[in-house]
Amino acid sequence: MLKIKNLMAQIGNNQVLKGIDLGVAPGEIHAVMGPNGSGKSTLGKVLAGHPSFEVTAGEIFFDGKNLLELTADERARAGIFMGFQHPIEVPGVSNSQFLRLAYNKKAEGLGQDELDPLEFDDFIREKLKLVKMDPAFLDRSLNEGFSGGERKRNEILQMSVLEPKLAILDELDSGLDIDALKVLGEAVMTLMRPDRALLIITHFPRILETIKPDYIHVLFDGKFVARGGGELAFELEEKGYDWIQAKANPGDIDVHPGGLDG
Amino acid sequence: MAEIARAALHQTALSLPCPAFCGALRKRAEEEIHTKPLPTSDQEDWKYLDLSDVYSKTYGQASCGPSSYPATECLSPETARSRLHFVNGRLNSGLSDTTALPNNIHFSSLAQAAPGIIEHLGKLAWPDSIDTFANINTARFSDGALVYISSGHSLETPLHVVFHSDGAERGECPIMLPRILVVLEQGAKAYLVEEYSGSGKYLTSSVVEIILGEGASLRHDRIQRESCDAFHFCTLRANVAKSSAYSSTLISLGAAISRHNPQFTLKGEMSELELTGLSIINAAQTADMHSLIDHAAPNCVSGQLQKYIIGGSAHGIFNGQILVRQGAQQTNANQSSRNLLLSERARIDAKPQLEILADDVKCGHGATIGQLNQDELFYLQSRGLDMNSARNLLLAGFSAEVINRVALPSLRQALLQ
Repeated sequence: MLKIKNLMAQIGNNQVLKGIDLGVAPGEIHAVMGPNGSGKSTLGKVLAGHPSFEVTAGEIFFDGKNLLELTADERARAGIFMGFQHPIEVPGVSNSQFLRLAYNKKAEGLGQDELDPLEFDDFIREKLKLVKMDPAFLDRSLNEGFSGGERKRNEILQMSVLEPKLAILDELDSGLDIDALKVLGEAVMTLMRPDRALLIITHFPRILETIKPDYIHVLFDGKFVARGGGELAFELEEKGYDWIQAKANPGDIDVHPGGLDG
Repeated sequence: MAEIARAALHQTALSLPCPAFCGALRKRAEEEIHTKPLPTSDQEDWKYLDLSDVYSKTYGQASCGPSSYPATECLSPETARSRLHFVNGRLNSGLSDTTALPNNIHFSSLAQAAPGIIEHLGKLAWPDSIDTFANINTARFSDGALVYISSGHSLETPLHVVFHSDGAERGECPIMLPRILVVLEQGAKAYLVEEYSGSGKYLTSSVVEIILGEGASLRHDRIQRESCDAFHFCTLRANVAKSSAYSSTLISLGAAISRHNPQFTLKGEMSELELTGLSIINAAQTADMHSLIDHAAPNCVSGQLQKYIIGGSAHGIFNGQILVRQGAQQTNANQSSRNLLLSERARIDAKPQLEILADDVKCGHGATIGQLNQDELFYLQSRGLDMNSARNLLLAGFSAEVINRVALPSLRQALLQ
């Protein structure tokens, strides 16, 4: 589904990604972990097509399409969803208006019927239950005055509306209390299908108790320095990132091979 | 050369027919026209505004013939029976209907108003305190709208005044001189919608006077969608008495050059003023907002939010003056100017001006100038909205804060589209 080869990217003159290889197959859950500043969020943003980052080498293919030739909105319509670490406020744009527009753009791309406001209202109410969100949030401006947790809820609500093939969730757990994290983690798992995949970007292993990854990739200074199965999370929790850093000889630590063949 | 052109505009203006009513006021205005020159950008109050296009045209009288104006256009169903419709300066009785209003509400054309009421004209916009465009109006206006609500009456039905102008495609530009007088006596309450539209080339100079008695309350929505070839000058003077409230939204979309000069005097304690404004201009349009809020009494509150969306090589000007006089203690005044520039050649001159002579006040102001936020655009694009939809959604969001204040539902909906 997703194939990344030797990806390098920079922002300004700062080289952030220094040769990333990653493969994700349908039905798989991957986690990218790493200390702050390792390039985790950059990887997510580059996949989503953020214009501030320049890809200097490598390639990204998604469902056979060259992702680097697509704009951010084309990538979204192709089935990529980015759940942001810090979703921004868009004052004056109502949440429901935005969600319906996003849904209809996707439907239009798939040749499906668009939903009018009444039909969409029925549709969205089911989705609200999934993330346990108060319908009052629909009438408010997009993320305006939302707490960190409410914004994250809203991100997963958007994911449930768009039903992406590949969801990249950047630090879903930041700003969430334990209960909310459990609700959203379970919602994400409910949306998982054999033909869909997840890429979880996280500093802390806590989220991986609900969203259990098949593969974990550890990022350090713009490169993957270790890969393994789900159990690598516990090792990281116990030993911290220093353990990896000490051993860092980029790409060499294959605790369990995998994830490169998707 | 420029002076000759201005003299020609003077002359044309003074050759317009002079109605009989308000003789003394008109005479005074005429004296001012003879002594005071037309504005130019070397005067401090007119800095930034290039009026050479206005002075390069030749002017004439508005046509009295039948209008080509399609009567069904832009009309709000809520005001079908509480509307005065002026076409080329004259009341069009076919398009006007005030049958929804009770007898004790005076909502009529000025030419039909009782002489006692007419005497209020010019009290606020007195000839020596207004510019020459406004004095041309005062000396020669033929008609306009009167809103007079006597003490204690509260009117829920919105009052709608429409000024439509048929301009010229070539040759002389007609001069249009709309006028509005609003008098709300003690405790009276009303909602007024003021709207300008038109086609072709013409010059509008309108004067609006608003007198609010103690405890009175006026909601005032103003929509300027003149022809994009027109020139629009509007002078507004309002007196806000003790415990009264005035709130207004001005949406300015049309005209090649527009200039609004509203001045509000908070004359009595505990009065409130809320102004919101939005100008959306493109191509080579210029929109100038020159406002003054005069806090002349203690314990009053004023708020002003002015927004511009500027595209093409358009030019916005905002000069927002707030004066807090010496005795106006406990004043709470807030002003905000927010501006979006959509192209490299778009330009804004934003100048907030606070003059505070009292020592126990709360006053704040701020101005922002920027482009569409890249992170916001990316966020919307990352949800599948193409660049155009994302831009439009953000512009709609920026506008909505002002447009949502418009109280007439059909008008608000039409503007949000």
